[in-house]
Amino acid sequence: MNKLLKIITVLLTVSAFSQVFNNERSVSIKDFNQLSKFYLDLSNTFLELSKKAQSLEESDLNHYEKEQLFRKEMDLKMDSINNTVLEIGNNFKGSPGV
Amino acid sequence: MKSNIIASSILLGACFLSLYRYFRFEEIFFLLLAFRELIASINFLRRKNPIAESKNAFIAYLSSGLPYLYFPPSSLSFELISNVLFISGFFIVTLATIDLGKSIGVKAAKRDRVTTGIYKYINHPMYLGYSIAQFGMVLLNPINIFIYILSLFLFFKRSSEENRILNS
Repeated sequence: MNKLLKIITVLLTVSAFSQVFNNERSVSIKDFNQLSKFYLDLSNTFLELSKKAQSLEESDLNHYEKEQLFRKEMDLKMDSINNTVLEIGNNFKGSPGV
Repeated sequence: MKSNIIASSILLGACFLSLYRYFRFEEIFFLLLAFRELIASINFLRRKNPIAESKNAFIAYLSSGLPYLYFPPSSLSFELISNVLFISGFFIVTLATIDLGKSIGVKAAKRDRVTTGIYKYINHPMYLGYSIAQFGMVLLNPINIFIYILSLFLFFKRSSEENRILNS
C-alpha cells in the first residue's frame, strides 16, 4: 500500500515540476503583462481617436468628409486592436474564467 | 480518540481547500498538497495511543500554525525557484507522512519508532521538507526571513523534544 502511495507521490511531483518548468499554469505572469499592455494600448487608441475627432470638428471640411476621414482612421485602429486580440487569444494560457 | 477525530477533520478540510485551489488555479502542486493532507487525515484516524508524550504541546502547535503568518509575495523574481522549493519540500513531507503511518502526531509522543523508508536516511524528514518549502516564502518576500528563523528554531526544539521522548 505504501509503495502505491509513494508511486502516486512521485507521479504528482514529476507532473508538478513539469508544469512549473513548462509554464503551463492557468495564468502566467506573461499573460498579465500582455493583458495590461493591451489595455494601455486600447486606452491610447481611444485617446488618439478622440483627438482626431476634435481636430476634424475644428477643420473646414464638410460633414460627409469629416465622417469619412474619421471612419477611415477608426477602421485602421480597430484592425490593429483585432490583431492584438487574436494574438493574445492564441498565446493565452489561462482559462476564460480567469 | 476525540483529538484524533478533530485533527483528522482539520486535515480533511485542508485537503478540500487544496483541491479547491487546484480546480481554481490548475496547479498540480495543490493536488500533491491535497494528497498529503488526505493521507495525514487517514493516519490520524488510525493512529495508536502514545506510550508517553510531551507535556509541552505549545511549541508544536505554534510551529504548526506559524506558516499561516507568512507575508504574501512582494516580488515574483524568484517565482520559479520558490515553486521548485515548494514542490521538493512537500515531496519529502508527503513521503514522510506515508512512512510515519499510525505514528503521526503534532506534539512529541512515543508511539512505534519508524526507521523505514525516508526515516532510514533522515531522522526528521518532515521538518526538513517544511524547512525547504518555507524557504520559498522567504524568496518571495524577504521580510519572511524573521518568521523563517523562528520556524527553524521551533523545528529544532520539536526534534530535540521528540528525540528525548523516543529515547526515554
